[in-house]
Amino acid sequence: MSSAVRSTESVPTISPRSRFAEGGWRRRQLPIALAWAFVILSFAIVSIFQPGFHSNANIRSLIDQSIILGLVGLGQTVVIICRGIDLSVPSMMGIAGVVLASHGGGGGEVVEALVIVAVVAIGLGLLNGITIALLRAPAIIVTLATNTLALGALLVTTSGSTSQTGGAIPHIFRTVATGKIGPLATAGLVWLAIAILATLLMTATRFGRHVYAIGNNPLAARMSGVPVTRTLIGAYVFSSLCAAAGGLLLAGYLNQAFPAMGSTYLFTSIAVVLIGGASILGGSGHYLGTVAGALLLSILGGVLAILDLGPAYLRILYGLLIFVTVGLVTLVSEKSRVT
Amino acid sequence: MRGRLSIQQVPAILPTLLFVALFIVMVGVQNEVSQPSLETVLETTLPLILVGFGQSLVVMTGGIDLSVGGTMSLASAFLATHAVSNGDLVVWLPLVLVIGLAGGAVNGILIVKTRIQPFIVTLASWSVFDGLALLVLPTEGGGVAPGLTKFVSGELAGIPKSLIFAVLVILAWLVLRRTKFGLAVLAVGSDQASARLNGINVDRTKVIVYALSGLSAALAAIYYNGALTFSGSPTAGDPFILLSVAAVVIGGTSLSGGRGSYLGTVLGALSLSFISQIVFFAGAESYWSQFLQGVLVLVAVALFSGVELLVKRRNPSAMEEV
Repeated sequence: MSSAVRSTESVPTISPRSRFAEGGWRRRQLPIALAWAFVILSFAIVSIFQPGFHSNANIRSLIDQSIILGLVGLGQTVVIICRGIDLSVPSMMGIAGVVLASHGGGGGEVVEALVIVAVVAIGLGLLNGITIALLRAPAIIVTLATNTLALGALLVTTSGSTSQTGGAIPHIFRTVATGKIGPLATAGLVWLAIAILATLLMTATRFGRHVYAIGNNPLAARMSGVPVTRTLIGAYVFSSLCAAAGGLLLAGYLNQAFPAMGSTYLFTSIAVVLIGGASILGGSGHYLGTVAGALLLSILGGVLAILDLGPAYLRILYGLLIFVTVGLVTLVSEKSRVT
Repeated sequence: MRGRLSIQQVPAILPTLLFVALFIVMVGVQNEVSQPSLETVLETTLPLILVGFGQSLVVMTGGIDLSVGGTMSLASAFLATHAVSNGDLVVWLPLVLVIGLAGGAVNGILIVKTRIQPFIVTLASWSVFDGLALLVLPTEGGGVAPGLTKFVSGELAGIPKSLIFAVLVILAWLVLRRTKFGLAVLAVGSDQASARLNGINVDRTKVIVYALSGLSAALAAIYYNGALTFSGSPTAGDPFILLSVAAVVIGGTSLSGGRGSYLGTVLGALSLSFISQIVFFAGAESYWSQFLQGVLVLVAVALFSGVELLVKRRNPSAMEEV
């Protein structure tokens, strides 16, 4: 009797324990820990060779630069966790910045600008999400197409002023992007709040759990009653809203706006998520990893600036960094699957 | 079933219909159609027709190559800085082709060996190639060897060179399609596991396909520098990432791999050019063509994905994915 019980017990323990208890830690938490180790290590090394690097002012500008990437990366994190990708963020950032710059007048105009930006972001997210979720179209191509489409629409409505637009950026956005409260960067505090909210969203809400479930196995998620279509559409709308917020902050940071202002974020927004340890195959990843990824990219950018190396080296470095981190994550998760 | 239209044929018929419709609109907007204007359209489309060759093969295997833009920029930068006299051409023309081929092969090897998704590998190498291109040639400029321009532009026996090149690459596809390798490409795209069981070397097929994609991007850069811009640009390839994928999508090649034709891609590339022409001759701002091209790709990808979904629903045995 007792032996029979034992034998039935031993069967299901084979894979679930190793994969979700021990291997799961390696697959999920180790990449994030690695990313933070990279951040601390690179910051320490640079501080030794460049004593001014860990000054308050420099850390603040580091955070000012990273928060924009961190915001756009938040949306990208959610989309990547549910096995998608959003290449339309550059156009959304451009639209947000340009709309804000052309409504620079009073408080009422700023509200109007925010309403327009929100409506466009929701519209773009719905377009992406519905095409991808309902028609099962590949996310890469859909969002690449909507990026071109939205950027084209922006250029048509602004008559193609590819450089700076005339308007002024409302003061509040400059304050959020570059101001400080006491010794602390405003952007840093805002980011801290966002990171806490994002962690809550992904771990404590039904939406977050559904996103992870879809990423792990879309078919199983659908079978167990997860509203897959609705969740996917929600993820893309969320990503567009994050990109829009990033565009508003970027306009505040640069104190100007132009349609192509978001172009570098196509690559970097994905890079920070992958460096942060999220698997491109979906199902794993955490916003804290993305935060580390954003900080790491900013530190590396700072290092290259100190060494007086131009954007060409930055691009090469970003590319290599993606290879290395994705390679590491793949290695770690493959190993954990075997054990 | 023979002779009757089935829903599976939609991806083959629509590109042709679109091509004809856009052609008619273009002729209508231009009022008259002259041989020189058609030649100009073909000349400006040829780089896309060339890049589209590699991209088609890659998509047929179920992958995607985002690095074609970077490869093209890098090739353009090298040519504009190092191949400015006819003597340099002897060394640099083959060298640029080798660079394209090798860059593509590296993509392929990384994809096969590390099992990282093609999209991520080529996104990263796009960034690396772009950076290298900026190192070689920081801003637009440089020169072009007179011999290169003479070789790629003008006419041969009364036939425009652009037409000759286009016919050559189409012939290459028609031959390739019937070879063992051509079959392997489609087999790998439709079902990797059963391709392997049937004795197809899946890994080698993939590496060759990405190498060919790099090669065709380098060829496109040679034509771009020699016949269109007479100089080079470290960002020459940027528009070709979307455009090459767009031409393949509009051409009806299945985005999940396994089915498609390069002929569709050529029609897709020309259709995209017709849109620019229509916008230009209608007197609208050129940004309209960017907008309309985006709309066209979105509609095409939505439509073909919808058709694929319908086919799968009708044939439940093929429904292994959600």
